[in-house]
Amino acid sequence: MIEILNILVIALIFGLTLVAPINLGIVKIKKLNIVNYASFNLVINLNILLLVSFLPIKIALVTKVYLFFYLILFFKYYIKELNFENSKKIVRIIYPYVLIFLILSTSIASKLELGWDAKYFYYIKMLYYDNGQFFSALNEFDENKWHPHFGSYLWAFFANTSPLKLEYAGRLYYLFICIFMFMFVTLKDLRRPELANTIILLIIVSVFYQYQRFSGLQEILIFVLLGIASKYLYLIEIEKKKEVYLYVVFIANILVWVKSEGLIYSIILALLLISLKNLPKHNKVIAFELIIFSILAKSIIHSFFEFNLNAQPHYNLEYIFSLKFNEIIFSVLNITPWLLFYISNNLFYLLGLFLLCIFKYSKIEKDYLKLIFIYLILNIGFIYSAYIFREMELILAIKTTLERIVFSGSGFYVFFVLCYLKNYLSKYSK
Amino acid sequence: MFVFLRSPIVVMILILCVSTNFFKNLANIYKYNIDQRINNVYGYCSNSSIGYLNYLKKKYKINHSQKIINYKQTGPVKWAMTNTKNSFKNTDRLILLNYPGEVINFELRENNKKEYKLRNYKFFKYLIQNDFNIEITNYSDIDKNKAFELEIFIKDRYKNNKIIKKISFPANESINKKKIINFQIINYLSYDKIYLKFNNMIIDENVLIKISSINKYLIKDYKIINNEFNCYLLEYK
Repeated sequence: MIEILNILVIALIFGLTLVAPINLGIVKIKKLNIVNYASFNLVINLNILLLVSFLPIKIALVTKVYLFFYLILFFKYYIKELNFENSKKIVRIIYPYVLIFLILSTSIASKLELGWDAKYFYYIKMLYYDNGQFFSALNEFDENKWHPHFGSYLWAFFANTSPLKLEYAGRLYYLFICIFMFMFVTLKDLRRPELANTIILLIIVSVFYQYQRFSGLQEILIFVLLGIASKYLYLIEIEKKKEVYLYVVFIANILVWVKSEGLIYSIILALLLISLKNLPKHNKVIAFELIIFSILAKSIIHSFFEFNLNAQPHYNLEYIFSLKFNEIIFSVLNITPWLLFYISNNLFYLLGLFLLCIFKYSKIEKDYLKLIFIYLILNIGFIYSAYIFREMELILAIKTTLERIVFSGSGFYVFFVLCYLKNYLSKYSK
Repeated sequence: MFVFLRSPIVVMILILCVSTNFFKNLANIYKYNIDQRINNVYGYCSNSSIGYLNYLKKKYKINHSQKIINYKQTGPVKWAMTNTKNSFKNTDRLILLNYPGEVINFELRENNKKEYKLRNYKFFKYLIQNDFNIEITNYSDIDKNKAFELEIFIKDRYKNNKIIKKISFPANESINKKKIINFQIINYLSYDKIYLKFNNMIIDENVLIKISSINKYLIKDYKIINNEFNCYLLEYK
């Protein structure tokens, strides 16, 4: 029973990270609704935690200061609005999402099994932070090499914020931000939730949820961040909220530190920002420079802490230059059927591809469709090159990693697919 | 009485509860504490045996790295004993999980080219002494005038066969009898798959092929500190 209470407290703490106005108007945007506002809080919050993860401060202390600071912010900004009537309204609006979180939390708390890579890398890194060690100590971890630390830091951080300090509490944060991402891409404004949208959200979550996604693997973070970035790009291109571009840059910055392939997604986001029609040129230049800077910053930080920069053993220039044409063809022929198989098993990727094929009938803004198309080309290009240039038994590499790569990349289609579903349902209901 | 069930949101939430086994999960959390749930998920002395590792960690206050060998293919188990603060590795002790005994038997899996792959060789290759013993009973030759041959080979990246050993026996020798063949694989440990091909031999349901190798870790060579089921904490003598 005490663990159930623990989960409830965790849900409150997670909720606090979204509503406490950490954003403090870093970017002023007109007509900002509460869902967008919460997403900005999430992105800023993650960037602050990323910064803190490099500092030599014990995680137990950081969590205490963090909670204290967030509570102060919360009460300072919301104390006037906290009355019985408002609370009732809030509860009526958010209860489906809280219930979804609680239902899925019990699944994670009950199953507990960690994913393969989590046992090898991410959980061990989480233990470093959990044991009061710092970023510099990760250098001692033999398997550290090329796996970024930020997902593990979040895991340790939120495990420490829970009253019982249980390991899985950190993984519940992955679940929390995933549900929030679905909420963010489905709802226009939390104050006026449409019943149809909430039902779509519930259907999507029911179909989407698999325990393995939350077993400590980091793909879910990329999936979530790409999902949010996709809607941000929509806000810039279609709703002409050009200020949002900075948040895309913030997301790119987090991606670099979540997984090795995050770096590629970061570059893809930079290219997508450049391709936007409604983003002024000088903003494009700033965004591109900032993303390149964040990628370089990773190298600088790794050099500073004496991490091995060329540690990814499966990729080396010597091998890439020695590849012959027939070897590339052999790889392409082997990758293609597996890629098609994994895409056909991925709801968002499959629907995304299907909707792109029937784009003439999809009634989705053409500029956004163009963006999705560019992403698709870049993503597929990345997947092929990742396996062609990898010096490893091809089929083994594909079988062990391709499903997860397809999944993490599919996050970008979530908003696109839900946009279409909503348009279709509203047309049908009329 | 059940007016609330008319709400589509409530119905959807109930569907979500059913699809994720919410009530079962809730009961699981209520009935078992986290250590018991870990035992249920990873096994106490079965599968990953994380329960046994946690037990050793508490009983013997192990707070350093420890060599652990799990004879079940379950994924890594080292994470359960990791202490990031203490880089000391105790090389005097060894933990064996799911110990199968002194002999490890391999199964053969046939592909469509009549080749046989040693199942789980990749997993066991560093846990065995790589002296293989093949026992074939009730076999007969296809052509009695030809030699019976056993080819042992690996496959390269492009699936080309590379023979590492060929054992051949004169024609008409030991038809329908038991044959015992010994061979070693030493220089090919970098390869994860070993294939066998039996030329000029009828392989039907009567034929019995047993392949085994001696375990690299023999309990008799160590002092037993703790033993539960087939899990051991050992110390070098």
